[in-house]
Amino acid sequence: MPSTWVNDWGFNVAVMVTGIAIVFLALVALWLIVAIFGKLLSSLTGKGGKQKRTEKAAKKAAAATQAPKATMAVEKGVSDEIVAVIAAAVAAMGSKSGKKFALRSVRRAKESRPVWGLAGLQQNTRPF
Amino acid sequence: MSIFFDTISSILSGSGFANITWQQIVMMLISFVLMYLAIKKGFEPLLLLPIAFGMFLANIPLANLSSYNEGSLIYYLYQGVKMGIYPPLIFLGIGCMTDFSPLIANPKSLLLGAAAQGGIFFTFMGALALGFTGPQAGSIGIIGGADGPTAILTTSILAPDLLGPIAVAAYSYMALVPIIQPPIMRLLTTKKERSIVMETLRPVSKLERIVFPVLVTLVVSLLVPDAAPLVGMLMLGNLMKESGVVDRLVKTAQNELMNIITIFLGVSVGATATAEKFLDLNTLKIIALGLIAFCFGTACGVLLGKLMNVLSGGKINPLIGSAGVSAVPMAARVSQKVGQKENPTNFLLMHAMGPNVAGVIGSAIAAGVLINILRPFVS
Repeated sequence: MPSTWVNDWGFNVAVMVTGIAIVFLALVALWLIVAIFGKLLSSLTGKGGKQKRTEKAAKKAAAATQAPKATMAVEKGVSDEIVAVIAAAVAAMGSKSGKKFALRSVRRAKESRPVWGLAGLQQNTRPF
Repeated sequence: MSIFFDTISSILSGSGFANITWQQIVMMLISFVLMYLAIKKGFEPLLLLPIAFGMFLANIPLANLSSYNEGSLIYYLYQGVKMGIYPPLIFLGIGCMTDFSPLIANPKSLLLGAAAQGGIFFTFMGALALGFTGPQAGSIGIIGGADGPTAILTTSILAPDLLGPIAVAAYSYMALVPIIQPPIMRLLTTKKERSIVMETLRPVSKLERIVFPVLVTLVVSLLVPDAAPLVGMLMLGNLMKESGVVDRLVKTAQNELMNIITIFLGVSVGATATAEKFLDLNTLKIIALGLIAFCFGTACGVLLGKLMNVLSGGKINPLIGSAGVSAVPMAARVSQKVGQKENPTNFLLMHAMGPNVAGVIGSAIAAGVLINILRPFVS
């Protein structure tokens, strides 16, 4: 038999506070467990030192890019998904090499020859 | 001759043309607008299109195609929603497609995922103030979790009568994340904060990626058992993906299974929006409250991001906090876009994916809490 809902503001506030508290509690617990597990694993595998060096290099790269630059120009018709993928690829390249890259514009490459035509040409001219 | 006219007259009086109400015409027009938004504007078309068509079918007079017409095809499809089967299966597919590495590399992101759920609980209070009952208010608040399956599961348990308006509001606002979030993000942050370049994330080992879903399922399910169906299936999908030993299952879960469930879920949820249930002042209230939920969730995430930035000595860009509202991966893309507008050398995408996927876990937990507290009051 369900209880009848009575709008009691004391109870309502308690529901809100309890809800927020439990969500935070669960995610803080996860944070601690994941962080401890990560540390434990890196100490067991001896990757701690290497990781610290990578982090140091990343910090240096991040510090070097603090100054804001001009905004990026995106060609009309290029979707946000494409820009995001290009940005992620550039970021991955930068983090691996430790170099600083900026994404200043995204525009379509102007093909002098259609892609299919180019593929056909390559196929026909490729040495055996 | 009179037989001919009598027959025509009898056919016409028994047809949908003679029985259609103005409310059904309005509902059909609404469904056409939603179809337009899905097809022309690309607003979450995978779900909005079946939802809109389900709504259209449910409002055809005498066709008896709503989710409440016992014996109809859609009635049987709707049982998967009513019994809470579809949303966890969608989560299984999402788990197969989600990479939790950014979250494992920076577990602090979990806090941002928690903060962004603030919108759910503030909107819960707002809905109560507007006269909704507790279970209805909980279902409306969950729109702020920006997670369609979670919103549908919660509503199907707490307030099934509101399923249509809540699903439409949730998916419409999720599609509008790139429009809703940026002004709030800019309003709450300074140019200097938006320009902060974050440190590159550490690489995450395969072992960590395999243990993570098991740990999350254990901790969340022990703490909030009502969140276990969603979190459990999400993490099962992720474990299948990360283990690398069940490629065939992963492909099925993230493609065929998810597509089938999406069609069943979309059509049957859309078909709950009959004129008598949808054309109501409450629908307008739900749409307004849904927007408030999204705005509050975004603001809470950004504000905690600002606090974490201060505490970390300026290492965290507060823009990633807004991604904590879920809406994967659109909210993370918005953080990236707003950050890169200030500084083209800034790549926030992977940093924002951490709070983004944490938001999925956070909204499932929030749903579990609301279901647990409010289910006894469901009439």
